Amino acid sequence: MKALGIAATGMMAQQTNVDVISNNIANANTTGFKSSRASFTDLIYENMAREGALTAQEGTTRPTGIDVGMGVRTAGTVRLNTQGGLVQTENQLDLAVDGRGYFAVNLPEGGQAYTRDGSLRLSPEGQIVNEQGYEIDPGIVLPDNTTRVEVSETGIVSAYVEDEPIPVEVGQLTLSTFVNDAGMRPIGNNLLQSTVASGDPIAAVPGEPGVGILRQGYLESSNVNIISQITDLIVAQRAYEMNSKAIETADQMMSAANQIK
Amino acid sequence: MDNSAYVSLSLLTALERQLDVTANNLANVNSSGFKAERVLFESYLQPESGTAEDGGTNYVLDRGSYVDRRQGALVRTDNPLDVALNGTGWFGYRTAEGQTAYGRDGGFVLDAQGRLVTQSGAQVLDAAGGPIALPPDIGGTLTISADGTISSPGAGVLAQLGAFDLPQIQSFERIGGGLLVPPADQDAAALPDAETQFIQGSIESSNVEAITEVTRLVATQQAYQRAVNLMSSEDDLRKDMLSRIGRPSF
Repeated sequence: MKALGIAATGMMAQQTNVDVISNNIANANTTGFKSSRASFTDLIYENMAREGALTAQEGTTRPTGIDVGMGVRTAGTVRLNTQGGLVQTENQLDLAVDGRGYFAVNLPEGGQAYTRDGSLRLSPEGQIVNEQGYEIDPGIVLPDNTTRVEVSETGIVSAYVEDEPIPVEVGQLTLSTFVNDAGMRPIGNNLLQSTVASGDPIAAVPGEPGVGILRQGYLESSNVNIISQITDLIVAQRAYEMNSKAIETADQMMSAANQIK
Repeated sequence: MDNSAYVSLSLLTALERQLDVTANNLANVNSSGFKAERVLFESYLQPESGTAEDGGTNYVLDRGSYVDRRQGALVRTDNPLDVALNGTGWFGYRTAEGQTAYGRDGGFVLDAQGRLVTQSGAQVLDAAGGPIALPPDIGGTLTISADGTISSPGAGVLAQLGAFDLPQIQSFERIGGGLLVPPADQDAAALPDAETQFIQGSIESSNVEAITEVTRLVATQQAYQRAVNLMSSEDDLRKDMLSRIGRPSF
């Protein structure tokens, strides 16, 4: 009886589903977080009888075969890269990306990671860093005595120094885009890394065709839709119960078979 | 020897198959584009074993399984690369092994080369049967119209998704990953299906009807129990017969 194993794959799939949904709900208030959806597909099939096999000497063929599926597997989790809402914060170093693109940050252990979380800070040296203190690439250092920072929609960072009425242009923020955003690997702390599946980063100036613009004083909220997450949670729970019902049935049938003398 | 034990046995075997298929349907209740599987049983009449004039013994034969082609519900996902089919057509795919396969799973992603692929890595075919590649810089801005045309505001028309008409789908073999492949001897030149509409931002959910499947579970179990009971009563009869025959009659 294969049903026990088949139903077990179903229960495991629904567990993965619940794990992904609960992570989405847990991150409903995480800046720049993108919700994921687990996607499932059928496992291999055992072909008990081949389609088109001869059934009689006269040459008639079997019109349908007997395919018994072995259950379900997780095909992948897809990150939904839709825009999150923009929340006004008034903080001059809060930047939201409106459109496509990621900020690149230099990791302390080397290499780069990418983020949509634009809650930026200043290091003791005046360098623009992210919340974990990682440098934003390309590196921008604000001069001492900076009283105010302006970031244009196209990423030009200007600093007002003391009483000078004319700002000093101190750098240009860039955004990185990827052929396949969904293929990036999340590493926690709102950071993503490029992978073979995502392709290499393409650095671009904000506002170029196909690249988003920057909005100073805003943060991008997560794109988690709580209502649909809760609905999915209920659907997953019911599917879990149905698979356990299949296990129960298989168990009862086996116990009936044991009564045969 | 009586046939009744073997008749029951043929039913038990068939019901186990029924349970396996039902369990697989239930396991795939959330698999996008999954089409439920149904089993077909038929009776096999063995005329020689009959004693009555019109008699014979009917055994249950496991005849085949077929694809339930009904449309699954459309679930909105807002992902620009999720495409649902509304109609009877099928997506065409090319698997990693170079096989042409068909299915209804429209949860697509782009690979690093910009090719449109399924999450299992099979390439999605266009209306002419070739793979679809998209330029790297269009990202989330693409639109897919009801006839499958993929376009973006900057680059215009890029490709056209294919929907194929497969009247002979029942003879196809399932290979997992939501894919069905034509039988080896059948060189399926799939014709485009103009009726089927593409719906962007939605996914066709599995067409497994949970209530039906759970009901089938219950019915399968009851039928199994009946067949087991039939076997035991047949066994009791035989035991009774043996004890009576062996008894001296004085």
